[in-house]
Amino acid sequence: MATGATSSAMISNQDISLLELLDRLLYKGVVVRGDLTISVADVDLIYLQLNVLLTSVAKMQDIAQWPPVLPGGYKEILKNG
Amino acid sequence: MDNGYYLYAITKDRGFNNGTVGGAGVSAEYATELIAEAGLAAIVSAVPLCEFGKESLATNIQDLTWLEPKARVHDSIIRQLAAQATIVPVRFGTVYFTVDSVRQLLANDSERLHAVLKSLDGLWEMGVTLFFDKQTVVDQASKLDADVQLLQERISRAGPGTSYLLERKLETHRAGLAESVMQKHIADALEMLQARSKAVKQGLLAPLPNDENTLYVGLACLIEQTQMESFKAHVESWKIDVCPTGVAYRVTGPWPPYSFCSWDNKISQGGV
Repeated sequence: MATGATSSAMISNQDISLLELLDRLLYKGVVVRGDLTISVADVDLIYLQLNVLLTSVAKMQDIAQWPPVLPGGYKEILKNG
Repeated sequence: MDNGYYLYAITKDRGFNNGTVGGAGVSAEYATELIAEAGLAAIVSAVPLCEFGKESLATNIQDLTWLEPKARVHDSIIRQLAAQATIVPVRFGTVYFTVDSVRQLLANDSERLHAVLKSLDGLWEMGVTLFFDKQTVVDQASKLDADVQLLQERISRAGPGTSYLLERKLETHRAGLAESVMQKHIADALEMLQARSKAVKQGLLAPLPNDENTLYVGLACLIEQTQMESFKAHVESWKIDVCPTGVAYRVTGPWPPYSFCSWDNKISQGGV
């Protein structure tokens, strides 16, 4: 049974990757036949906006648990294991 | 201006408190509200069709400056509800023309919706994302591979023409090595996660936007709410023990069970 015991931690968790969020919101979740629904073809177009995506994700560098998200930042983490 | 009704999630109608809804929706000027039918409740908010209509929506979602804040509002609304009750989170961008259309959805699919809600009771989703630095993975694997050593030796002794062909062969072999190492690591991660989850789903291994050398794959794990902390601790200790150079992990969550409630979208249409 879902409870509210940890609701404050869940609600206040800001450590969300835009990439991971969009992956869930756009490709997952229940697909119900609304009167208007985004099609999969429309969703794929989002990934053409590469620079805008990285700019958006880069705003999260201040979040403690986040690794740096620019390509150089990822290399830094991966080299360190 | 004509409005539609944007759908966020479906849950059991259990007489929610004031304050469950009423906050701003994806269009900030309209608040969320509950629509109840057949023992179920749909969380919706009004949206202007000039922005959320079929053609404008298809255009707007290509603009991340438009999409990002709305995606966050969508997720935030779902999370607040999920903290109070088991929910079925709905995909972004589902809009109905009328309130009656939403009621028809709930009425026509009440049995299935109740069944899905029952199956998700007390369960949340944790995300484990693996990142691979392809070049580092290749370099590490090559050091231990006899065929790589052999090819390099042959290249050093070969003339220009043969050397070129051998170098192409080496490149192909190294690419295959990298793929095999990554897939083995993903398989090991899956085995570890499956032992600790009700269900696990794997996404596609794909390069990051704008960084072809870094690949990532998302794994979604459905777990008991009471097991979340021990799950996180186990993944953290596992990755320290087994994570080879060139691999990084991110554990995220808890998420509402986005990855575990997909179904055939040919359920009844609550259309006009």
